[in-house]
Amino acid sequence: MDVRLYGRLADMLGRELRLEVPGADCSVAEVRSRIAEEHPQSREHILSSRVRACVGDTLVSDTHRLKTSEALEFFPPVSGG
Amino acid sequence: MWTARLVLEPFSPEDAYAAFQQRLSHEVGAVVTFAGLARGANRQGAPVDMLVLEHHPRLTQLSLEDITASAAERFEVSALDVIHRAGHISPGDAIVWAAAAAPHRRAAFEAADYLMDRLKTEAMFWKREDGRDGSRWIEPTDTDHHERARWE
Repeated sequence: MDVRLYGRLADMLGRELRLEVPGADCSVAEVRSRIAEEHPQSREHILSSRVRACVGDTLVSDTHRLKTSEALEFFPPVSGG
Repeated sequence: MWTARLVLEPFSPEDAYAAFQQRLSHEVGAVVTFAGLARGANRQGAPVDMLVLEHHPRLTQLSLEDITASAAERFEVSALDVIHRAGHISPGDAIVWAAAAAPHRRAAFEAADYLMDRLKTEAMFWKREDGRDGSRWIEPTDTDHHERARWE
């Protein structure tokens, strides 16, 4: 699956991250763990509850199960102004 | 009547004010405007060569609209205008513009204040300072969150 990243996470891992995930309906939490395993330098951030997950332009919880067609995005804390 | 716009090129707060004023009706007796500029130094005093604001292709514009619509609903204002830059911003250039017009001053002050408190903490941007000593991602401070919480 493809994961799109922003901000600090994109700096660390690139904007698009291709992952082999266990099963078609894995949860957001499982994707976070997989990224942390494969990219330990991102562990502190990708596992943080301050980094929000988004599917189809809607924020989702860590228990959300991803369909194969769904693209997942991770948002570090935002700051405008 | 409100407008909220994401822009990727430099904009002029003076031009924004002129355009905003032109669309005001005669019921307006107060206009409050705020322009946020990129600083040439960070909180620690180190020079900043460039501020970089990353945005989301769809949700950033929606976040600006959501915040502005909430302000329009919450305060007795006649018009609101928000313009927010993204991309590479040089020191001295405008990052954000927020304007509120109302029949009386209190609502205009409060709406502009509310807009900025929410934009600081909820507008969908990722902000980085680039300087000669490296780059640093900026997140809302405790003060920013405290000021946002005043409106709850």
